[in-house]
Amino acid sequence: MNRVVAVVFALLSIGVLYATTTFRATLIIDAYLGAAFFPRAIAALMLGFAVVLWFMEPRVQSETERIKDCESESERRSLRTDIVTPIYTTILLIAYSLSLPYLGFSLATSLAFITLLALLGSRVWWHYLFSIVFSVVLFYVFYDLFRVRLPRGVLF
Amino acid sequence: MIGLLLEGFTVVFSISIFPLLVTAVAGGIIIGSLPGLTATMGVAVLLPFTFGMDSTAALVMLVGVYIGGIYGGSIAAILLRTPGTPAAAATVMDGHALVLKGEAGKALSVSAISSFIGGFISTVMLITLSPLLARFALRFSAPEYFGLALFGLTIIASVSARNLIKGFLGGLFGLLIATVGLDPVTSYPRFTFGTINLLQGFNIIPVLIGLFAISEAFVQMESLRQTHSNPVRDLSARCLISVREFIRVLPTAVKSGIMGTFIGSIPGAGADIAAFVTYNEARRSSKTPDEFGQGILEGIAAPEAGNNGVTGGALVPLLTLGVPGDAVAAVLLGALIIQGLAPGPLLFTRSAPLVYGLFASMLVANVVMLFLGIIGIRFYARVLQVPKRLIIGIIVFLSMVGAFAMNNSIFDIHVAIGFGVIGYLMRKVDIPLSPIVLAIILGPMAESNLRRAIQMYQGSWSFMYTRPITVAFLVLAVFSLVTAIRVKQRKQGD
Repeated sequence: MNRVVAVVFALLSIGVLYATTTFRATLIIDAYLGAAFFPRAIAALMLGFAVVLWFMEPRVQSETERIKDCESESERRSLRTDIVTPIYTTILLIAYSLSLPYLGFSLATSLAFITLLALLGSRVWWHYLFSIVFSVVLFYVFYDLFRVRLPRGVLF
Repeated sequence: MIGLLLEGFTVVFSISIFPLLVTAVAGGIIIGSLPGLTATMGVAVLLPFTFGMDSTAALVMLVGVYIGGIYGGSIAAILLRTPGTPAAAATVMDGHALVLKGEAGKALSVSAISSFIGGFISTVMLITLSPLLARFALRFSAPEYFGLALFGLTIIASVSARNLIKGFLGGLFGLLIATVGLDPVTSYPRFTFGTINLLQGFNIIPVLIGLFAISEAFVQMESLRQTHSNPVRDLSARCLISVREFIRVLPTAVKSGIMGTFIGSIPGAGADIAAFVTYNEARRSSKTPDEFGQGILEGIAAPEAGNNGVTGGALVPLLTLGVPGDAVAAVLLGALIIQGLAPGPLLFTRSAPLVYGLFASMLVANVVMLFLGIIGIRFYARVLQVPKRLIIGIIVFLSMVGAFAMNNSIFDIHVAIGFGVIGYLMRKVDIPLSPIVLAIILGPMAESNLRRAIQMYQGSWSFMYTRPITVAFLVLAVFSLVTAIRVKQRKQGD
């Protein structure tokens, strides 16, 4: 796994080094270090550490490696975690953020909270009721008390 | 001075002021504990309500919210691994580790007591040493700020739990994130991909929320279907700090409070920087540095005393020179001007009763904060008894509103989600998150001040060895780095 991490960071640093070569001159001139100095220095250091990581013997196994090295299936199952729910939750949150301006905070949050509870496998009815009350209370606390202009949407 | 201070106490304990102070501190704690709502925001939101108030009442209210807000950030950081404010980011490491050990009560009590010690020391230093602190702050210019930032960045080595190289990679990733936006000297838009939302760079609040809160929610979701019990549920709020433990953490809290006051008195260096610097110093000087990050009491005492130490320190340049040291001090400057007062050296002679009333209210606010912090522990800790599925939902949607709140921007929600995914992936491959946050906080300070220093010295780097304070910081930075690496090597050797 260390080698995958090393490759990701190396690619990122190469990308940054390339991007800094495209920086154009500005009206205000910094004759000494310039806008590209810091990103370049960081990217060069990052590349160096990525190379070190590539050659480094892993002393501590990462979670993925620990699962891979398990001998029995039951042991493997106990370590394996459910990565699908975080992926679905990310998609849900993106959809939620895009719907906020249209549905408004209370409605969008209630719907997203209910969906999240269903995703997490909740079968308790009051959890769903709580999610609606929580969303509405949160809206009024932030909107009226803290003057945060949360989206009101089409219903309010 | 004593007479004026006693007069100030009389005003603070009057029937019209004291309830206001208690309400303000309680309100500050609530605001600070909500992700996304900072002490600065709390003070700014309340500023319009002070327009019609008497000067003393207005300042007491704002100072109460400030002190409560800085402490409040630690509650969510400890219990939910979600720092309510950037100043509480350093408290997450050992605070949440103690919760996982079932010692939430102990973590919360150390946090309240250390915050009180830090805040109280800071106020006493503000009262007695203001002119001296102001002189110290005035000696800071670009090279010294760069030295301070570099010293702060060496903390990356201490907080890189298992793998130093991965910690450095995380820190460099954070520094890279900090370069996004307009270049501080030439205003060239760097890595903005043509979007206006990135011109000011990434806002620290959504980044913090994403890295800590959302990634934590993802990790909690993963383990929902597993059969073993959740360690977070097996805790006791009854277990508070013992007298022996208090005596053990007292020197760390006192030292961090003093350091926090000094850092707070430097314009531009806020509570977040103080928390990380004091954490690093506590770890460096500890006999058991490898226990930091595993749930050691000093790991909570140092950043909490350090960040609350800033509350008095930040007022030093404001009251003595009329220069606001940080964002909260800038809002307080506005409050003073609205009340018809001109901050600066003459404030102490022209409006002495008001100034000493403010000092007295700060001392009392710290005591009130300690009281509310201790009696509130059993209520705060109840959060952990909420069913796990509900608490995940609450964390996720509080995070969403917290990310939105700072700039009223949906883009910040996207940033929080993006950094949530990044934080989750980093945790999967054992890259610690604290170096990323630390680098995002200190990166802009390091870059802009290095470049200003080079311009001041017309292209020369001689400021690195000609300015005493800069040299001191650089020596400390090297010392801190070497100590951290040696500790890691010794640990790996064992």
